Amino acid sequence: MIFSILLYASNSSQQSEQTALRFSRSLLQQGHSIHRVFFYGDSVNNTSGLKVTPRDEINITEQWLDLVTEHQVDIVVCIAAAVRRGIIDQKEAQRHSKTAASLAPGFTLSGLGQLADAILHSDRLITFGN
Amino acid sequence: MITAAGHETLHIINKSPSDILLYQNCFNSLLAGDAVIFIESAVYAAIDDNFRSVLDLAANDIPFFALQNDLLARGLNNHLNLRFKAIEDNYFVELCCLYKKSVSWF
Repeated sequence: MIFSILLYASNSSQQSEQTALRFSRSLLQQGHSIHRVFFYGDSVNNTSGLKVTPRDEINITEQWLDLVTEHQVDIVVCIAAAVRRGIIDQKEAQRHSKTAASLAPGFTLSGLGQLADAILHSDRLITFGN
Repeated sequence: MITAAGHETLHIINKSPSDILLYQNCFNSLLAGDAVIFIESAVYAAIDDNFRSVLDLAANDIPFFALQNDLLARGLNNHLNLRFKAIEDNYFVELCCLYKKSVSWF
């Protein structure tokens, strides 16, 4: 089956992004596929390339990027949710005259149309939030 | 072996039962053919009889599942209420395939 994952998780001290990752790994292991992972709302905070995770904690951003590398998973970050939280790529940094970009390389900013597309092209959309 | 007939909506709940309003909203929306999976802190609902009054809001024929990994992380795996079936992550994926839709409550 083709899955898409929608993330609403509000901060890294909560468990839901880890559950989403575990779920994603498990479904890929079983031969299913992921059409898209869509970061929405406060979950976009975990796509910042400027965050520093303490060494004894799980770096969730890195783990999502590992999934991209290993399984070519398409990960899209909601642009409206991201820009208002200071998660911007080079293009948005220029557009809004900011001094630096913060989106971690490997993630893509795009609009809600990509979520609609994910719903259309997937057999299942599973939401993880908190 | 479970078949695909009559499996409607899988309700995924992740908050501890102290969030009683969330549970009431979730259980009041259950229809025949639905199931509930308790994940993350919601697995506290699966221990013994502590939350029977809340759980009784769901009809008896609604299957209840609890994620084994989350039970283990909280040391609750030996205290499971008989109504619940503890399941691994891969079975969670299987349930999502089996049921036509899912709703996440958080």
